[in-house]
Amino acid sequence: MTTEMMNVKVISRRPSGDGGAEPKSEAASLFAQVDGEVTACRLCGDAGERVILEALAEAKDKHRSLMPSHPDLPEVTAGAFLYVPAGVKTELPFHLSYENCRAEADAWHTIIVAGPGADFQVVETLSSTGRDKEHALTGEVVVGKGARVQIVSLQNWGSEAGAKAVRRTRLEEGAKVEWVVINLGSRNIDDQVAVHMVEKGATANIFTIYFAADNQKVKLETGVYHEAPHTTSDILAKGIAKDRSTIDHLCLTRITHEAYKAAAYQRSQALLLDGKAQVTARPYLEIKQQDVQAGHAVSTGQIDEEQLFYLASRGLSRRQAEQLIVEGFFSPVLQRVPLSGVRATINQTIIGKMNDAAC
Amino acid sequence: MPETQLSIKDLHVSVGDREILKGIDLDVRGGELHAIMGPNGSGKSTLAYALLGHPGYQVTAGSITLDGQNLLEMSTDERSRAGMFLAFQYPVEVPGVTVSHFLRTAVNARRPAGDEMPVMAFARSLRSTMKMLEMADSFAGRYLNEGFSGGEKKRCEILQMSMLSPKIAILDEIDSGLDIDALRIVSSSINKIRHSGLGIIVITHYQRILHYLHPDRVHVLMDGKLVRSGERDLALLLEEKGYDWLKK
Repeated sequence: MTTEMMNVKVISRRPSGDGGAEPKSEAASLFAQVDGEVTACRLCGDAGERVILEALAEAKDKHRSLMPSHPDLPEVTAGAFLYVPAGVKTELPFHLSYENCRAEADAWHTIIVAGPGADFQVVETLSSTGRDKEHALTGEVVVGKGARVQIVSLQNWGSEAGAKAVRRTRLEEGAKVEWVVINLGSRNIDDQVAVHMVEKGATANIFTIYFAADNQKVKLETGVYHEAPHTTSDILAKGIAKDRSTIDHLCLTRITHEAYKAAAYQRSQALLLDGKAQVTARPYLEIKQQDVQAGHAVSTGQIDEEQLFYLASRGLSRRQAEQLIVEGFFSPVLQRVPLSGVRATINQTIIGKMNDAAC
Repeated sequence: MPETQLSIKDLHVSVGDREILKGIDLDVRGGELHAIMGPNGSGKSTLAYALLGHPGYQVTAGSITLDGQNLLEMSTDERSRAGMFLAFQYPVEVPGVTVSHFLRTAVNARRPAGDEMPVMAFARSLRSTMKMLEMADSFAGRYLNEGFSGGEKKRCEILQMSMLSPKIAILDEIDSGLDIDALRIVSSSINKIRHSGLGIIVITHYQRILHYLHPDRVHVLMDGKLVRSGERDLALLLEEKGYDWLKK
């Protein structure tokens, strides 16, 4: 059923009037969609013949049996379905590029299914130009027994946008997921990342960074649900708040009675670049089993003046010094992003936001 | 190239409303190595910070010039780019920033915009400097001062000094916290990068590092003033007699 997806399938339709180039993707497998139109869809060599990467609009009927069970899959306007069957391991990541060039609300939906023992990375990039309205993003991920998946999601929607993202993950026995969620764009963003460890030995790592400036409001919820024994989770959230922005981070750890020997750790670290910005971190642990390890650490502070003096004594201006400190602050998360082009976009966006004067 | 000269005249420095330095006069030329010794609390580190313009230290009177430029009108980063360097007694950690990335940023900060050092040329220069200072290549990839031992921190300061080619370097207790082997390595590194264009001020409690560095002048700082200056044998005298005899 996947013969038409073998090796290379490039669809080169572009929406009228759009002269943009396809995103640079360093030879990774690529799915690109602009305003609901698929502009590129190709699998690179190491993906293998049984991998499915398709527009969700087509896939939802064709591959329904491979998808997580949905009583009602909503009206899908855009997004992709990625299915990596049992045992398939790829070196190069799958790049899902979602772009909005119209001033219209949109909804993106990504479904990723990893068969038992599969091992791969996905980089999802979301961007928009022009005056934005509301964006919605849903991510649904199922990681089968013993599979390992890393999903990097970069939200870089325009500064007028309102956005809501919900990312749900289900881990089977011994499965591992690493979410790297990067929120840079939008006026208001409400982002939920949830991982359910439903079978024993599953591991969830969530790394997330956000940079809020101007009057931006970031609402972030990271939730890990330990529902089976020997499950492990580690969450690191790193954020910067500048100008009059506000950040609210709810870090939720839930350990059920079944989840003995679970280990859960959450860290939330925020750096305030301006006295008027507000960061609230709310750790919330709900533990129904005694034989577990769980902890959390929250820190919020400003850039250390002694660091600035040290860097100034080496000739760095205050702006250069702050940039370097911020780069270093984010680097434990950013170095996990596999595509260097995407990393460069992130760095440029961060530097741009640092240098923008408040409105 | 005109000869380097740092001139400190009648320098008074306060922290809050407390006067720490009460009139310091000192001239340092390129190629010279001056040692400033003194007991705890005499104002040694205050002098170091004031020379680099730390915002917590207010200069209330006097002047500091480097080759005729008034340093007191410059910010800390401008002073650095003008040729001042301070090796910190307690180097500051910058998590997530590698030694190499930091040094490249610092080297480029002293070059005109658009004339940044090419990445490969910088990498070669860093590698050869580290080789000269007998540092392992892996050092360049570590986060700046994070998890460094006392000796590594001090060697990293000397590496920075070497890469940034200052005119005047102030080494604030570069010997503190070093065992005898680390002291020998750090001293030999300093000796390797001494040259006729570089004036050095070594601030120390103890004369043991001066065994290796052979200062041209030794000054004693007590209660905010340089109370005695002399040749190297002054350091030996202090070692033998302590500082108390100078109080009279």
